Amino acid sequence: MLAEQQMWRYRLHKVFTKGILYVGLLAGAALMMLPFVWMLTSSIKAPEEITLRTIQWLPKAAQWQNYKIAWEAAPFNVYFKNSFLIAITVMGLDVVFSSLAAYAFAKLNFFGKNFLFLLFLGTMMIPGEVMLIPNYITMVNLGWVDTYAALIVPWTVSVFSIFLLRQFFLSIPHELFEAAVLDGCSRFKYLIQIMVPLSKPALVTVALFKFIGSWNSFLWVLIMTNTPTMRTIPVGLTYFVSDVGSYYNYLMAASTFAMAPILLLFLLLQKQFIQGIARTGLKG
Amino acid sequence: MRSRKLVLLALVFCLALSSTALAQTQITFWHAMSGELGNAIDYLTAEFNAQNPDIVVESIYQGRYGDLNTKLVASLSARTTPTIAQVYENWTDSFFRHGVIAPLSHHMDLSDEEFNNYIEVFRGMNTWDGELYTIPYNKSNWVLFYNADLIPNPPQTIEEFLQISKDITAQTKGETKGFGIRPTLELFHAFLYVNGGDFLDEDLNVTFNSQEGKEALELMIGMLEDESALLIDGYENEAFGDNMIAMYIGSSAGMPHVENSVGDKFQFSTAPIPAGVRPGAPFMGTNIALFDSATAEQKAAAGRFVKFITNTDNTVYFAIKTGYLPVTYSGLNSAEYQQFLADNPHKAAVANLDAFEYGYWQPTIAAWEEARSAIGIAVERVFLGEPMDIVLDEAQMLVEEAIDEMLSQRY
Repeated sequence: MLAEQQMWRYRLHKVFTKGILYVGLLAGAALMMLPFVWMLTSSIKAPEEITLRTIQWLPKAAQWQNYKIAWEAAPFNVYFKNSFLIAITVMGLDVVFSSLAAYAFAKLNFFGKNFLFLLFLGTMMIPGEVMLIPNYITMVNLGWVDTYAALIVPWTVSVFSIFLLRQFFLSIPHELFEAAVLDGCSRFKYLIQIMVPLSKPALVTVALFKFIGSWNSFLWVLIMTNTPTMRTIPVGLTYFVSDVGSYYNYLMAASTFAMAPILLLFLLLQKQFIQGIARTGLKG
Repeated sequence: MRSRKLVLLALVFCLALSSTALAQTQITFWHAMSGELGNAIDYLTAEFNAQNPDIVVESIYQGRYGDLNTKLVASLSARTTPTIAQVYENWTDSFFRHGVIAPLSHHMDLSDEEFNNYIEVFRGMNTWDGELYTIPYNKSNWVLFYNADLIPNPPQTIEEFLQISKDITAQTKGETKGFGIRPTLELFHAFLYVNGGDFLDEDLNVTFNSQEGKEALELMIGMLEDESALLIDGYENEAFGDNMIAMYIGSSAGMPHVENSVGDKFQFSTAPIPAGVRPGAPFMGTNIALFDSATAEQKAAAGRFVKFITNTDNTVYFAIKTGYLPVTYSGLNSAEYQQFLADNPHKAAVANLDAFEYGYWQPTIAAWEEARSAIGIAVERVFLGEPMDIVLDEAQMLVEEAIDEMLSQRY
């Protein structure tokens, strides 16, 4: 009898704490969702509704044509094609190069390894804007202005990716490496067959960061290109913003379709992404 | 014999091909016009290209003004400047001091009549070294936007303006404040100028840290204190459309946005900025500059292009499509534009002919970028409640430093 009562109390306690936890999480989720909900509802508002200072969540009548108008305001089909092409290529190449470099920094011994790594990290301290004009001159000298090369090649190596992967690689026990080498495994084979499968979460994280970074990149694309056919989605988003006012409803509609691919990618890969962040100690 | 004929034919063909290719002059025009403006300039460019088979103009959108400036600076370092570009006056001054622009009007084959047809205020804003270096293109002015349902007769003087602002707040029990204040350099300039002051004098001495300047700031702060005005962040047209304010002073270029935010909620109109000790109409917007790196052919082609897009028909076309002003007297007085104003009475103040008589503009010096930022921050600090004297003294020091640095640099 007593045991049964205790059991009940235990269960009640568990339900209660879980309940609180879920309510808390739901509230957090709702808070995070708020800007997205706002974006979605704003994207179908009429112009005079969107600038209201008092909060109005839903439009009186949904203006679905905002999407059509936004889509036609700039050559978005070309921008999408370019954004995909560039983001996927950059992502793929960066994962390859970064894992090679990170492997060297994490598992191999060579002269000046730590110095080189610090030098790499040091470059992260220089803001990109400072490098913009020198980089532009380099691109001009290479004859790459207004080509995909300028939009892809400089971004295929990222110190941040190398750093993230190195940290992850370091967490893989060195004994595994020694055992594999003892069994006659080459260093490269070890990377491909053991490290890479073990590091899937970290690789996915690097890939996602890179994809998002490339997808959102604005100033670089604008400076390095001159023809609309070479440009990407963020350039298209500026069409709705000016110094004297903004077309928020169209901007929100365009932002919605601009971020859809990223959202999809995240939903597909979220398990690995969260693992990657959690295990490399990079969060918050 | 036959083969000889063939060779000859091929030669003639090649020559014909190369000569058309040679005769075509390519020029590039970098600008920051998107949306309606972008469509209008693309249309005019296409028209020009169709009418001038020997010239190919490529109009390229380079982001917003800040982005365009960055891109121009980068292209100057890499020697990849466009033929012509949209520029603000202080950029022009910097380019002029570096000797990288050429006087565009020299390449436009302008008769005296055509030269004088450009509105005088705009010529003033575009003159360096006594020459019309750049050509005005999208010019706007600052006007008073007012809710015509609440205010049937807009104020003409500062006294009337203050009274109406108070009345509106009282009348609506504070729900709608009379005036909207966004603490910007431009608004400060508007009140400073009609109070007889300005930012700098002709010799580049600071004049805003003066009785006139302090009175202008005190006037605005006083309006906030007696609640006849509302402090606004963000675009004024939003608070205006939302009935939070009944008047604001802003750029005529924002007209489409005002129309959007107001919708059918009420009638609105525009009037000149109320006059203080003197009237004043601030003019702004950008101009077109020609880079000296262009070849002689390109310069001539650019001249023809700019002459084309600012001719009477086209300046009117652009003005009607975008809400900017025609840049010539003939455009302003054209039947088409006058009809447009008659059809849209709420835009009448924008092209008010008197305004051109007492038009003024912000300093056009290279150091202005830095100076305006210092003054802008000072205005914000005053509105945050910091002591005006100290803030203005500090701003004066920063502006003087920027100007000294500009003058001491040897180009």
